[in-house]
Amino acid sequence: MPNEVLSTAQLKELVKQVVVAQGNNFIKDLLRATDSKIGATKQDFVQNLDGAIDEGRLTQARLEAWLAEVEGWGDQYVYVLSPPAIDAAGLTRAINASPVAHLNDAAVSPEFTEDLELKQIAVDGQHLSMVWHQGKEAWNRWSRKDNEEEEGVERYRYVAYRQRLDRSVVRFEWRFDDEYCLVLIHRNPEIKHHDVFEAVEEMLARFGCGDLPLRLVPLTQAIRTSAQRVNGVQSTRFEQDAGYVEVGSNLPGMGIEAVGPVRVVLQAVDTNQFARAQGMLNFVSLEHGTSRDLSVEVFGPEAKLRIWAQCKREDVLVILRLIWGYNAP
Amino acid sequence: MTTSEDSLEERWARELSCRVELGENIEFSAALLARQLGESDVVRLEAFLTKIVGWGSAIGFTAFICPVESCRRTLPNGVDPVACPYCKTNFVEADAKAIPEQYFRLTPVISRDIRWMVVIHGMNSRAPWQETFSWEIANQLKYSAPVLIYKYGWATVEVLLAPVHRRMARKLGERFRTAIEAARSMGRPDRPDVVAHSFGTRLFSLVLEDPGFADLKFGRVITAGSIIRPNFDWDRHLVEKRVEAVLNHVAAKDGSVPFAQWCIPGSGPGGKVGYTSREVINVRDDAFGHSSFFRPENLSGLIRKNGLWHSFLTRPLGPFRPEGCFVKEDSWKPPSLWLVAVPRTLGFLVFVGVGIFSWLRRFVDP
Repeated sequence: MPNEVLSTAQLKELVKQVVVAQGNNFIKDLLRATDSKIGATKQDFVQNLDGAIDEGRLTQARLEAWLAEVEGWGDQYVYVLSPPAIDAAGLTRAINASPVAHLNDAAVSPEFTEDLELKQIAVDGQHLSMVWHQGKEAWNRWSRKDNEEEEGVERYRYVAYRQRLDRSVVRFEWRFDDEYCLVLIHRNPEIKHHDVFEAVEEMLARFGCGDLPLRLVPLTQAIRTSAQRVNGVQSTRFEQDAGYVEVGSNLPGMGIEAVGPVRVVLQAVDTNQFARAQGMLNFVSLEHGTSRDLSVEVFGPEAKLRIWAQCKREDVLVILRLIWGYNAP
Repeated sequence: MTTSEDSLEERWARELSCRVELGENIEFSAALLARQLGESDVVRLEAFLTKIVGWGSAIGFTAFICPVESCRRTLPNGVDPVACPYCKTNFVEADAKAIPEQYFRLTPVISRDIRWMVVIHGMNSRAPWQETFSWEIANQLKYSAPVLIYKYGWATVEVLLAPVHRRMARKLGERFRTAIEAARSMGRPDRPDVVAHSFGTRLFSLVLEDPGFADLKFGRVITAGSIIRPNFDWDRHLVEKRVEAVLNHVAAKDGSVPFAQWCIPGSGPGGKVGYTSREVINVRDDAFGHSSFFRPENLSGLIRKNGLWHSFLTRPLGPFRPEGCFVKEDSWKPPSLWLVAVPRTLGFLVFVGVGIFSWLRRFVDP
């Protein structure tokens, strides 16, 4: 399937699915980048992107590059794990000799099957990336379509739900220079994280990687460090078996640092006395180099992050690099 | 606009101006501010806030509130308004929409805290004020802010010789370094605030000038009764971020500082005439003499909330213009060598004559 060429109709179908699943800000970026009119609704976006396809301003390659940048990045859970043991050259050889060799450098698939399915592998001297897709149908409550009817002496009430089709992307990312690798799982509650870990480890085992299963790397120290940095924390909770301390800021634009009386409480906490920590960490675009301000919830002992906004690949990688730095003892 | 409307808006403007000065409560919605001020007319207050955004005195931005009745928390800016990180509700799935609310921020500069300090005394004194200072500040702050009381003994005639200054400054620098390392290991910032008096200011200036201590950085610095030269290059240390800010507290009735430059090598009347650097905050107190700062009644006033020193150490500096603030307009030059030759020679002779006694005294009474 590498470099499979999609027909115009397939490309338009892919665009339609993407527009439904993606955040409007990113779709507007794509529309601007293709010199298209923006529009106000998802319907407008689809129409204008279709126009861009017809006029050759949006090609398959361009759409794929954009998808790789935004799809499966943000609005998700991220697990931080110790990397497997294998050298880069051996890994490439093993992938090419494996039954999933055809997925190496495969094109973006418009299909999202109901079960988690490996769709793409990308490997080079610097990194290994694997992408799984899972399509899930779900129903959103849609009260605007509720109605009531009378038939004879009976009265009926119809409660409406609107179908939602989630394009859930799961990724495994490993930059060989980093001391960690990542499993990124879309927020979809239907995806069982345990199944994802099994799928990732099964693939890595097939490629001949050692040091399996992958070990979670607790991020408690990252929260302790963040609690001491300016603009670091929106809220945080430090726990030990006998009790806990929880502080937070209610300000939307500023964290605990801007709330004097709360700030001094946090300063007084000897965070080393607490075995477990979680917190909402703030990353400010001007200071940390992310494309927008982002708040990320970090669950220290679980080695897990919850990113509460859609963002770009580089944002996630920058945040992880920062958190890894904070996590140094 | 009627007079009462004028006064209402003036009152709001004064309140906001006060918040900017303190660097506290600088972000709010109109409803939140109305609640804090006890105002009932939220619409008018919002119109006023929108007006000051137009003037450039604040920025406005839209925040979102969780629509779930039992939650209603304001979502942080870095969260898309499609789900609540607190109650975990996905608004799309729950057929709900985040509630937009206009927020305002007056300034990005917030107040700061005194995390730890170093206090350095002057010559010819055991400086009991240091203990008082430590006690008072510990009681004022309600949170832990260690005060390192640096003592170099009862210095008398040894201040007449420049090499002795350098030796004493090296000891001070080493003490700073070990204290900074200890603070860092305890999770405190590595920049102590500093209060220095009289000859202590001279020692501190030598630490700043010594390349061997170029790695040491300081927070906000208060010099009182300073004998640092008025033309000391504070600008360089501020630009290089060796010090965050400097307050020079000048005592108008200081009778000691003007004599320092004639007897103490390298010194000057900074604590009498002010520093020439435009970035330093010179503040004159007309009633104070050389050691008035440390009389208990004055000291507690200076370090209590809204006192001069406390305000300097905790408030944003942009709007900080305390009473008695002045700029030293004219330049300053040290007296010519010919003029200081006589007093310095006399000083040297005094040192030769009684220095040995001072040295011996330090064995029994350091």
